Amino acid sequence: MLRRVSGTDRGEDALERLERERELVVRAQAGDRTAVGELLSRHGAALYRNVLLPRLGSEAAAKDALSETYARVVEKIDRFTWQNVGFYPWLRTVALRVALDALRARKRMVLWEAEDVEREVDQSSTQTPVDQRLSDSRDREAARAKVETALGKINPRYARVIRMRVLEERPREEVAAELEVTPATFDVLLHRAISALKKTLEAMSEEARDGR
Amino acid sequence: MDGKKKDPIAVDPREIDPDAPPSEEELAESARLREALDDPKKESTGAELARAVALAHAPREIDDAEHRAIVARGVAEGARRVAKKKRGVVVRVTFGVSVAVAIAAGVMIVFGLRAPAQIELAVTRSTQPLFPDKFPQTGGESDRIDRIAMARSSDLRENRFARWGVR
Repeated sequence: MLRRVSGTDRGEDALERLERERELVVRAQAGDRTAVGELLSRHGAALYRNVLLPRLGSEAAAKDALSETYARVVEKIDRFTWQNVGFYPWLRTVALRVALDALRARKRMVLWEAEDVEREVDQSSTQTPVDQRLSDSRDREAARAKVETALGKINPRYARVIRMRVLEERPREEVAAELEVTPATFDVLLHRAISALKKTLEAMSEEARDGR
Repeated sequence: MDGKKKDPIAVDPREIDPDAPPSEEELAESARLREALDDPKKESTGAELARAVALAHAPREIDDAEHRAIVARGVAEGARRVAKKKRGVVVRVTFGVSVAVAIAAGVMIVFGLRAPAQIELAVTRSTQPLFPDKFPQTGGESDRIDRIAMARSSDLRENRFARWGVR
């Protein structure tokens, strides 16, 4: 029995949405490409924003991964088994696998490393699936927490520099003035701050890898 | 600061002085980072990480029109892969069926042609019909043996033709 959820998007009842989604899945599994397109259009924006973009750290890479995710969905949709939380958990797992492949192919480190996403893929196949809104909320929190934890481990002055210039996207000169340094000195500060953050993130990944 | 000194960040990022005088190398790296932050086309690992951090902290929405295009592209690519897989299966099945038919035909040729009930073969029999006239008790043995050999060779040839299905 499906449980009713209050506060649904665009006033559509959650139960009806799930039922409609289930119908779309049945059609998609029967080879209806329009139904697949509708399913992907429903969830793709959230998948891009909350799963692919934070993990891949670049809009171009996230868009490529989104396209690859869709291609794999069309290829493998016959393997999907309907669950009462809908299509999104399966779609998210496919996207995580695509992100994992992309991270493995990449040499430079960004915020997420391949091992981090590998753990998430394992979790997604062992944990109880949750609906899209809860999953999105968890993904957003995880990404923010990762940034905040790393910022909390570096020199507070560096963290402040990154917050102002990178997170708040304030102009270089404005931030330099607020920190009472010249723009050239601010550039050095930012470079040091980013280097410190990179080392901290690497250390965090190592800790997670070792299960500490 | 001496550029050859060990990077203090490598020791502990919290313990170094953020405002310590920069080395020449640091100045050059800082300028590269600033340029790369202003121009995404310029390569810089620092700028790449900065953008990744910003996107993780406040991810941006995807443009609707662009998303529609990505959906269309992804679905088309997926459909192409499915079609390719199906073609691969058809080729494999066709090959398998062809091989099976060829084997069956071979089996039929080998065993089918050997079925004695379906083929009339010359059987062992007396040589008497070869010599309707009386022959002398001595002499002419070689001629008689030649006649028998020719007749039996002819039987053997006919039997082979019969088995091969070309009689």
